[in-house]
Amino acid sequence: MYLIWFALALLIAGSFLPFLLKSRASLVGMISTLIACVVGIIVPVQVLLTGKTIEIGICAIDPLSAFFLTLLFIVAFGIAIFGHEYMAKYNERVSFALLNMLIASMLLVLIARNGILFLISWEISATASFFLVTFEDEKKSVRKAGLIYLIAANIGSAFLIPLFILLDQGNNLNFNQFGITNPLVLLLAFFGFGIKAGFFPLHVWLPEAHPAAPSHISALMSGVMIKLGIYGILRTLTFIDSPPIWFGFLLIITGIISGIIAIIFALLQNDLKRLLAYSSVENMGIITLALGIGLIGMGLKNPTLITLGLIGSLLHIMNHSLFKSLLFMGSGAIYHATGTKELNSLGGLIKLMPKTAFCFFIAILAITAVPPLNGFFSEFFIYLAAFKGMMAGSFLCLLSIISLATIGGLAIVCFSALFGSLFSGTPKVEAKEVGLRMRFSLFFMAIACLSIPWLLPFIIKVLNPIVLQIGKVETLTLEETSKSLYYIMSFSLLFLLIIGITTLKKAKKQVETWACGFSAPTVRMQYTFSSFVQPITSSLKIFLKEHFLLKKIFPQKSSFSMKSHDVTYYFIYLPFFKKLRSFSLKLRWLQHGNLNIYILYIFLTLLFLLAYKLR
Amino acid sequence: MNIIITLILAPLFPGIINKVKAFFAGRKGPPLLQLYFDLFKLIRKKEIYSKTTSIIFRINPIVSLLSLITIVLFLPFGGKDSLFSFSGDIIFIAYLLGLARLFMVIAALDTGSSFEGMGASREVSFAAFVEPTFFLALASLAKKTDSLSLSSIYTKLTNLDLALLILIMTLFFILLIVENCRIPIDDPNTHLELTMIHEVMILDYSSKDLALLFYSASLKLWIYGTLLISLFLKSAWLYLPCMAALALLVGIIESIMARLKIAQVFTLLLIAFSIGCFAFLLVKD
Repeated sequence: MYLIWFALALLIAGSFLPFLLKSRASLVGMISTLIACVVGIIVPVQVLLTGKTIEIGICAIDPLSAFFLTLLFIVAFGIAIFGHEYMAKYNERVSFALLNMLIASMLLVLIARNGILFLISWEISATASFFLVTFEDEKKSVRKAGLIYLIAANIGSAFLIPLFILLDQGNNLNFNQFGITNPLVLLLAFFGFGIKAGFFPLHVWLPEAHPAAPSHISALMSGVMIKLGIYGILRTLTFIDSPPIWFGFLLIITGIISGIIAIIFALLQNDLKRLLAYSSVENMGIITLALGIGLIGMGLKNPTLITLGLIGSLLHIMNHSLFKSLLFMGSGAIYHATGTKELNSLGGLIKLMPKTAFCFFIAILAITAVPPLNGFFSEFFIYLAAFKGMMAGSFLCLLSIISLATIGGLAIVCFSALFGSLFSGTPKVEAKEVGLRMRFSLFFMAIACLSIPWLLPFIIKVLNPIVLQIGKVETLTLEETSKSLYYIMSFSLLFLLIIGITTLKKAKKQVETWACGFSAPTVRMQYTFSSFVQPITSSLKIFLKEHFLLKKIFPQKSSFSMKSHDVTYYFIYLPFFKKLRSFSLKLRWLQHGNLNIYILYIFLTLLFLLAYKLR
Repeated sequence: MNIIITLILAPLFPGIINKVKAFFAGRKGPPLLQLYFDLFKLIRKKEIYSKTTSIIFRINPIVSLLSLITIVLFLPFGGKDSLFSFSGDIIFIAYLLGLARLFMVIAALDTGSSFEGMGASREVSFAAFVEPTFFLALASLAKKTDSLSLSSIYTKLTNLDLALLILIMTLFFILLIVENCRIPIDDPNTHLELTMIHEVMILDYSSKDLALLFYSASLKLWIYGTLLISLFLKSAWLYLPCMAALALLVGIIESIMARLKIAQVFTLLLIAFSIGCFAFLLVKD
C-alpha cells in the first residue's frame, strides 16, 4: 500500500519539478510519470487478485477503485511515452507537469473515501485538464473549446456538492457513512457525473474539448477521465442496497439516445478528432445502457441479468479505454506526420505509415466489435444481458437490442469509412512514419487490445468482487456464458492463426488498379469520408443543422465548405446561455471596480453571516 | 455430413437462379454447374494485384471464407442440430457477418478507385439498416422459443402460427435479397455504375482470391436460404428440394422486377423492420 503513496508522491513531484528545471523538463516529467505508473499499478493489481480492500485513513482501494486504477496506469503509461515525442515539436516545459498533476488528481479521486478529498481532487483534475486542453491557446477555437469545457466541468461539480451533502448521514462526509434516504439524490448523481461521462444532452463539451487538446491528452481524457463519471455513478450505487428500478430505466434510455445520436453526429464530422470524440459519447452510451440493464436486473431480482449487465458494462469500460486511447494516439500520429486533421484531405497513408496503419486497424476492428478482438466480447455480454432481459419481459431491453444493433451497424459505416478514407488508396498528402516512441505506445495499446480476449476468464473472475459489491450477486451464475466464451475464444484463435499465416503471402505481380477498365484514376477520385457516408447522412437529414457556405460563383474562384453543428449546442445551450448573459448584464452595476465598495461588500456579508449564526 | 453437403452444393444455388432468369428471357442460359466451372478455371489462373492495395486486400477473401464457413458450422440442417452451438451464438453469427462485411468494405476502399468506393459505401449503408432488422427477427424467434442458440431456436420452432411464419419468412426473404445483392437491390450481371454493390467490390480481385469470393457469396446465399427454410421445414429429406425451390423463387423475382432506386431500398428495409415489429408483437405475451 505504501507503493501507492510512493507513486502519488512521484506524480506530485513530477508536477512541480518541470517548472523548476530549465532544460529537459519534459524528460523529467515523463520519467516520473512512467515510474509512477509502473510502481502504482502493483497495488491495484494486488487488490484485484486477492479481492480484499486496503484502507489507509480517508483513502481506500477496493476492487472497484483498483479496476479503474489499473486502467488509469495502463493508459497513462502508453500516452506518456507517446506524448514525449508528440510535444517535442512544441518546445515547451509545462505540459508534463500538468499531465502529472492530472494523473495524480485522478488517482486521488479513485482512492478517496472522503467527500471533501474527492471533490478537491475532482476540481484539480478538471483544472489541470483545462490547462492541457488549452495548450495551443493561440488558436481561437482552442480557447473557445477550453471555456466550454471549464463551464461544463464546473456545472458538474455544482451538482456534486449537494449530492455529497445529501448523501452524508454522519457529519464528516466520509464514504463509509454515506447512505441514501431519498432516491431522488440519484438524479443529482446522474447529472453531476453524467456531465463528466458525456451523457446525451450534457455531452456538448466533449466534441469541443477532445479535438482541441493535444492527442495524447485526448487519449487520456477519453480513455480514463470520462470513465470517472461512470466510476462516480457506480460508487453512488454502492451506497444504496436496492437501487430503484426507474434509475435503471433512466440509464438505459440515456444510453440508447446517447449512442444513436452520437454515432450519427460522428458520421457528419469532417474533423478526425471530433469524430472520435462523438464516438466516445456513443460508447459511453453503450456502457450506460449495460449498467441500466444490470440495474433492471436488480429491480427484477434476476441474478443472471445483473451479472451480465454489470460485467458487460465493466468490460466495455476497459475495452473502450484501450481502443479509444489507441485511436486518439493514432490520430495524433497522423496529425504529427501530416499536419492536418481534416478527414477529407487525408488519404492513402497506409503506404507511408504502415505501422501506424496496422495499429489503427487493430483499433478499428476493436471498436466495430467484430470477433476476434476485445470489443466483441464486451458487446457479446451486453447483447446477452439485453436478450435475457427481453425474454424476461422487459420492453426496454428489446429497445436496447435494436439500438445496440443500430449503433453497431452505424459504427461499421463510420469506422470503415474512417479507416478507408484515412489509410486506403493512393496517398494524398505527404507523410513520414512516426518515431520510435510513438510507435511503441501504439503497439503497446494494440497488443493490449489483442490480448484481452485470452485473459477474459481471468478478468471475469477478477471482476467478481465488484459485481458483488454493486449488484450483490456473484459471477458464478455465468456458467453457460463461460461455455460460450470458450467457443468464441477458440474460433478467434483459429481465425488469428489462419489470417496470420495468410499475411505471409506476398503480392507478386502488381499493376495499376483495374476498376472495370477505367484507365486513369486520379487521387482526387478516391472516396473521401464525407462522400462515403453520404447515403446514410442524406437519409438522416432531420438530425442535422448543416452549415453550407458557397463563396462566390463562376467566373470568380469559388469555394465550398460544409460543417454540421451539434444540435443540442445550437438549439438548447446557446440560446440558454445567451439569455443568461443578457440577464447577468443587468447586474453589471455591481461590478464597478471601486475597491472600497468591494471591501464594504465583504464587510456586509461577514456581518450578515455573524448575525445568522448568532440568532 | 451436412456440412460437407452444404460446402459442396452451395455454388449450385446461383446456378439455379441463373437458369431461371434465362428461362424467363427465352434463352437456354449457362449450365447449372457453371459456377463450379468458373471456380476451377479461376484457381488455375495466376494472381495479379493492384499497386494501390495493401495486405488487407489480400487477406480479405480468406476472412470472408473463414467467417462464412464458421457460420455454416452453426446452421441447422433441415431440422437437425448443427455441429456446434452455444447460448448466444446468434450474436456471434451476426457479428461474423459484420466481420466479413467490414473487411470487404475496407479492402474495396483499398484499391483507391471510386467505383469500389461507391459499392462499399452503399453496402455499409444498407447494412446499417439490415442489422437492427436482423436482430429484431432473432429477438422475436428467441422470445418465442426461449433460447439463444440458433439450432435450438430452430429445433424448438414446432408450432408457429401462420401469421408469424409468414411475417418472419417475408422478413428473411427481404434480408436475403438485400444482403446478397440480388435484383431489386443490385444486379449481379452487370458491372455498371447503376447496379453496383457486391459485384463492384470484387472488381480488382483475380484467380484464387476471386474464386474464394465467388464461393463465399454462394455460401452466404445458402446461409440466408437455410435460415428462411428451416423456419417451417422439419425433415432433412425435403431440405435440398426446398432450397432449390427457394432458388427458383429468387430467380423469378429477379426476372420480373427491376432495380429499385437507392433511396427506395432504405424504404424497403424500413418495411422489413416494421414487419419485424409486427412479428415481435405476435410473440409478446
